[in-house]
Order: sequence, then C-alpha cells, then structure tokens
Amino acid sequence: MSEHAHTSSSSIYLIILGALLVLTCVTVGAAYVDFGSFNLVIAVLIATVKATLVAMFFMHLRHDPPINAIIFVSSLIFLGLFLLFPLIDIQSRDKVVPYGLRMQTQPAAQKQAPAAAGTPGPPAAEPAPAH
Amino acid sequence: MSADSHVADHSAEPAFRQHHFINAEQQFSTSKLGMWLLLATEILMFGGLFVGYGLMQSLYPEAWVAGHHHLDRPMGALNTVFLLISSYTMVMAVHSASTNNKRWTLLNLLLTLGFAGGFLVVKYFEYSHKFHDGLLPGRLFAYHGGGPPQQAMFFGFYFAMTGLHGIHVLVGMGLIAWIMIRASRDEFSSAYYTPVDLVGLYWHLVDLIWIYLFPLLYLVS
Repeated sequence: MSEHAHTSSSSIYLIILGALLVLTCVTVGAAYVDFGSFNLVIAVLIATVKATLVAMFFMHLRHDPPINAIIFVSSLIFLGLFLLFPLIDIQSRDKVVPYGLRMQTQPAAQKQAPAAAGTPGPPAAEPAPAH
Repeated sequence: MSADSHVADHSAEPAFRQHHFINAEQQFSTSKLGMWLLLATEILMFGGLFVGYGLMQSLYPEAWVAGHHHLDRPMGALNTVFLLISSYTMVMAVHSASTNNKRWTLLNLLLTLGFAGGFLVVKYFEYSHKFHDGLLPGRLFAYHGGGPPQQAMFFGFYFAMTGLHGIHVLVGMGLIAWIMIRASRDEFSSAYYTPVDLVGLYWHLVDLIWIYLFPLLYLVS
C-alpha cells in the first residue's frame, strides 16, 4: 500500500518537472513574439504558474498544514504592496530627474556624438520620461 | 554515534525528539513552520530588488530593452533547465529519505549538487563575458557600444539580483553537501528526515526566485 503511494507520488514529481520544462519553452517562445507591453505581463504570468507548481508540489504546500501557505502567500501580498505604492508614486510625478546625468556614461556619450561635444550638458539629449 | 539507537527505539520516544515538543510530528511541523518563516524573509529580501527593478523598468523601458539584448538567452534558458531539474532531484531526495532509501537519497543529492554546479559554471561564463565587454553596474559601466545611459542601472540590477541569487546557490550547495554527509552516516530515516526536507524547501525557493529572474532579466522586451 505504501509502495503504491510511493510510486504515485514520485511520478507526479516527474509530471510536474515536465510541465515546468514545457512552460519554460513557452516563456522563451513568447518572448520572440511581439505582444507589445503585454510581453512582460505574459512572462510574469507564466512564471507565476511555474512558481505555483513548485510551491504546491515540490514544496509540499498541497499536503502541509495551511499555516505554511498563509506565511508564503502573505509574504507575496506584502511584496505586492511594497511594489504598488512606490509605483503609484513614481508614475504620478510630473518629472523624474533622469538617472546618470552626471555619471560616467558622459565620456561614452561624448565619444558617441563628438559633434555635440560643444554643449556641456551630458547626455541631455536623453528625453526625460514624460509622465 | 546515536545513529543505531535511532533505528532501534523509534517506537515511543525517538532519540531525535527534543524535550520541548509533544511528539515527533509536532517537532517536524514546527521545524517546517520555522523554515517557511525564513523563506518569507528571503522573499522580502529579494523583494526589495524586484521592486527596484519594477520601478526603474517602468521609468526607463528602453534602457531595459537595450540592456537585456546583451544577455545570452540560451545560457539563461539552460540555467533555468538546470535549476528545474535540480529541484526535481531534490524533491526525489526528500522522497527517498522519507522512504528509507539511502542510496537514492545520496544519488539524488549528488545530482542536485551537480546541476547546481552546472548552473554556477554557466553563470561564470556569462559573468566573464559581461566583464570583458565592460557591461558592469553603475559607475563601473564601461561599454562603448552605445545605447541609453541607464543601461548601467540595468546591469546594476542584473548583477545585484543574479549575484544574490548565486550566493544562495552556493549556500545551497554547502547545505546539500552537509545533508549528504549526514545521510551517508545513516542519520536519516522515514521517522526523521527533517534536515533533508528543510534544505529541500530552501533549494526550491532558490529555484522559485530564478523562475522570476529569468524572464524579467533575459526576456524583457
């Protein structure tokens, strides 16, 4: 009886591994198709399906007392909050000072465009993201 | 030393049970609970990097696209496959340990260790290629091939995220080696295999984080 449970539970791991490998191929394949801004969303969605499989089966959350899953999911919820509020903040500003204005990228940019070397402003040509 | 007594007296009072637990089962689930709390802190630690990544990606999408073109997709995909298979061998090691199969426990742990090593070897080749091209984080960025200047920041995130993850892989390899030594000394049985299970949980988290890192770093467009 336990031998039966043994074989069935270890073969499900192999099925999960197969699913994970297939999903990896799907992610890589989807990255070569242009869905516009949805590419990132699709990639994260597939990653989440994979992560769920790993957590449920490989990490045994399926059979564990629910407290472990509660800890896991709440850490993800807090991570979501952590991402959400700064994102709202930064997206609702009029102007964000572009990164790298006084950085070492300056020589590289000048080498790239020697004609513009007269202007002291470093890669000011870089358009500030409009929000 | 006490390995033989483990097998002998696991009827009523197993030798591994610590006095402050009601029974072995409670001890096992308490250990797991503690491990999950540790994993939650790990998620939040990596979370800081993921949030930074998300914010900066939303500000400089063109730099992110330019930066990710320097990453080697086949290498990244190969590493994903390595980690997924290692996760499978790890869960098989846990399963073998819980069914008193010492040979399979050791073999699966050895395979896990091998795939983890393979992951780091691939990572080494990727890193040395980036170093050679000057694709380095922040002020060290010395790539002269053009592109948005914020690429320096993309590589900051690339090295911080894959570097922290790589350290976790190294730690995981150490833990797996430790588990292998203990397993070879017959310290585990179907009654007690908590360390194998907990190292397994840790290793799956390392895999889980890579599952997100791979598409976010290598496949953004």
